[in-house]
Amino acid sequence: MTLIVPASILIPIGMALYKYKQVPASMRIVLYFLLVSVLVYAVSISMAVRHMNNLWVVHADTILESLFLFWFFHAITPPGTGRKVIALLLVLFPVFCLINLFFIQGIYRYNTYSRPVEAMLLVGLCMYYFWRTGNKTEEGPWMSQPLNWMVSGILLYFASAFCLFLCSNLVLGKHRLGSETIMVLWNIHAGLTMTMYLLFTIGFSQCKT
Amino acid sequence: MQDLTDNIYVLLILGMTGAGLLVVLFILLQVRGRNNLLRREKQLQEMEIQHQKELLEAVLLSQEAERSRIGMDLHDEVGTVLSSLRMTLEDLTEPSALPLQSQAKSLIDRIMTSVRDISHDLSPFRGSAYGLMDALEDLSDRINRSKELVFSLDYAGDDTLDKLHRLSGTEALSLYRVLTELTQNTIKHAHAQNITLSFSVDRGRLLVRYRDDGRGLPAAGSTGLPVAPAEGSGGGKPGMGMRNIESRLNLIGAEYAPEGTAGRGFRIQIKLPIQPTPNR
Repeated sequence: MTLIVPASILIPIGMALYKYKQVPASMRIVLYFLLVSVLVYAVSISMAVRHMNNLWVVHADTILESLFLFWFFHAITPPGTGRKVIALLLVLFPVFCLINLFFIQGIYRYNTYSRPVEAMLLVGLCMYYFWRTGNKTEEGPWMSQPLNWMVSGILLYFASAFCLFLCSNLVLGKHRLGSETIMVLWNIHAGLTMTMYLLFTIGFSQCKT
Repeated sequence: MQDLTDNIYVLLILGMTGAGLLVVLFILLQVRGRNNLLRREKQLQEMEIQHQKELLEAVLLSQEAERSRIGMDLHDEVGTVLSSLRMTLEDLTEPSALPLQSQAKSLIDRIMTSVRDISHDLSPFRGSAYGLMDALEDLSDRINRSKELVFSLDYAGDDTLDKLHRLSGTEALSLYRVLTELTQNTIKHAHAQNITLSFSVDRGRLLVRYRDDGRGLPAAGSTGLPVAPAEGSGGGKPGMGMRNIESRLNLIGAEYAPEGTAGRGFRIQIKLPIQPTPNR
């Protein structure tokens, strides 16, 4: 699983590059997010191989992930109050992450305060997207809309992994659980991540001129 | 401590699975809701189209009924009066009146021919056992009689004749009106020498091919049918005649494919589905 999940990210990236001309600007943000995630995986794995503490990568990843995903939601939201709120989140949330990193939880613990907040905010934004587009039929069937697949991927991952984010220090911290138990949880997390990538792949594949 | 961690482990997995299932359920409901909305919208659109079609049919049927009434009145009333007038003129025996009598009879004959033609145009299938085919033969005779162009009519095989017999009154009349409109366009605008009209059957559909060797049509209209230069205008917008053609073909559910480039004549192919039930 250590290598399968990072490798699976190449599938949506490949699809996005294959369909690059048809991919709208808003969805290209997701492609940039995936490319940055590749970098994060690379750093994280190389540090783990050297038996170095890579928890700061998790903190940095949360900030980068939130920046890209909030930017994505900002791009797909029409001008109005909703968009202004997302713009505000784009600034305030990274500040909150930094405060948590330097003054509250520190660099050697899981960011169990900022990550669940990020997940809640993203689930809220996904719901807002579906609430906004639920009654719109101009664009055709649900399944032919690339954005529906992208937002579904984000919703499924962050809603399902919310509990894990919340309890990371409790169950994933050293000496709390046996390694087998941790593996099961990581496998579930990996499954959710791959499902998100799969839904992103479908989303990119649905892009048409 | 072990009991506590085991519980958290189970609770975590349950929490994650539950949340995942809720999300999947939410997405499935979204998909179903959107599909239901789309289906309802499509049904409404279909109903609207059907309503428009029925309205159009009602308008065209009442138009045809009115035309038929005027045609019959013209034929029966005016025709009879003209025949009486002609017979009255026959009674004139004075030698000085003979040249005037001959001139008047000639004029009356021309008027009677015109009245008959107009009456026939207004009510083409009246008194005809073969409906559309007779009406087209008559149209062909009248055009050929004018010697301005040659009108050729071709029916490919008995099967075609059988299909033509099985056309409903609305279908036959609509087709006849479309063909006369096309003929009028050719005569007025195309400067053609020949018109060819052929009927055949292809995969259960009646295939009508109309072709002239005139100057063709310069531009394609937005509706798919070519732009006919409206009388008195410089062209550019679809004429009333062309809109009538389109309405009538849509009414009877016919597909049509016009072709025509400048200087190379005009062609249109009409495909009309034939219902399998005979003797409609």
